[in-house]
Amino acid sequence: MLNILRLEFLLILRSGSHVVLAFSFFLFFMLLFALSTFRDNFILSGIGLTAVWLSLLMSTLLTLNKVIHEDFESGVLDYLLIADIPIEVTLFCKTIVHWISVVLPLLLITPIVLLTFQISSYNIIKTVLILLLGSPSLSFLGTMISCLTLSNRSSFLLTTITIPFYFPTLLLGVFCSSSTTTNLFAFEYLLLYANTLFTVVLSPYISSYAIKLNYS
Amino acid sequence: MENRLLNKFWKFSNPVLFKKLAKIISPLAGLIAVLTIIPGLVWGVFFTSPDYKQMETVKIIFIHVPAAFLAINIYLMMTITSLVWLIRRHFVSALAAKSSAMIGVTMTIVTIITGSLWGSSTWGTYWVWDPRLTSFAILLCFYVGYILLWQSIKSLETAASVTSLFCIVGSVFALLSRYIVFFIDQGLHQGPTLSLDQEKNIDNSYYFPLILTMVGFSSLFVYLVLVRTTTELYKYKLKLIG
Repeated sequence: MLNILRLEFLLILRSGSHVVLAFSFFLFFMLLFALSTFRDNFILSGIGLTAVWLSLLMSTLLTLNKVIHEDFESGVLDYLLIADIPIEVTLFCKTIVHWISVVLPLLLITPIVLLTFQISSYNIIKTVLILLLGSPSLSFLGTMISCLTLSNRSSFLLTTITIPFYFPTLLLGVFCSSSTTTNLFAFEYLLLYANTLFTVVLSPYISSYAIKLNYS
Repeated sequence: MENRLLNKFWKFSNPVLFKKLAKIISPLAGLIAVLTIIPGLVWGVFFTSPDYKQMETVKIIFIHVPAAFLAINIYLMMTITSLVWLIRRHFVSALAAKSSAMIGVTMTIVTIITGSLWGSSTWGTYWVWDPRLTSFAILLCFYVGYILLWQSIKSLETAASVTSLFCIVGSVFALLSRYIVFFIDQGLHQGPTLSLDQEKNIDNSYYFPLILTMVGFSSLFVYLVLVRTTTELYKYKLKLIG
């Protein structure tokens, strides 16, 4: 498992142009939100939290075809399937690496971006915490759906059919970010954690099943 | 006893037997549909008194409710047939799911259109982001994703398996989104007032024509799904030959 993680990180280091792409896409998308509402501070601070979730979602969507599709096309996936390590573990590692390389840098830049949206520092810390706990499900769902669409290369299809699966995360995430409770174990937060855990646990199994269906 | 009954049921996964059965059932279902939808709608629209508040617009109910009932239950049926395909590998089952998806989309769109027409006169707006309306928009997204996935994969067997998995996982996520939407906002739409056992029901003068149209829409669905599945079977056969 450590070997796979090391391999994946090496791959990202040597040919990870999509990480930079996702990072700049996130910033540009936030800039678009800011530019369209900067005349009114009230609207600006109101839209900030939603804008972060949407930009994060979009930049995750754009990088999804790098997780499994490239391996499938180059034939690496065949070797991973017949390797000693269970395919579920491999998929789990791949997704974790995707989350660390694509989503985590965005979370690190989020506080600075949100400062320009006139949002109080307490709310910024809360939002980043919620993003940290909620965003893994975006990567894991993405892996699941990209395994389902292996037979078709178009990233348009992948994006279109992934979006419905992001509804629960988006709904809960935005709802939690804008909720006023300070208790981090309130019901809506618990729902968000449950959603994350549910997808993290289930996604590798469903993905591996989908890959096997595609190969049969 | 139950096992024998089940075996008799699984026998119809054989395409030839299925086609024979479909030939018997589909005209019957079509006949029932014609005999219930037309009298139901005529009775409902022309021979019931208008609501004291909503006036004549209340009569949209005779299309809106059966369509919504079908839109949800068709997705449930697709989930079950997908499970049957993944577990028992009966190809008829996968094709039934494929052919009912289009009917499901139609029913969802009919529900949304009639609902927004109804809403425009009673709520004063065509669309609000009410939980029920939102969950129908979500349902539409899953239907569209399902159909897109079917059309994007060339190999029929792979397409059937992958879309079955999509349908099952999708049903979980559609339900999840629905309950989260209900958790966030309670909304404007009225609660359920149509059931077989509850005390608080809609008035009998609406109840009976509504039941009639619901039976009619359901048998229309049975007719359409049988015809479409038979067509898909012939198409599959043609593909195998040529």
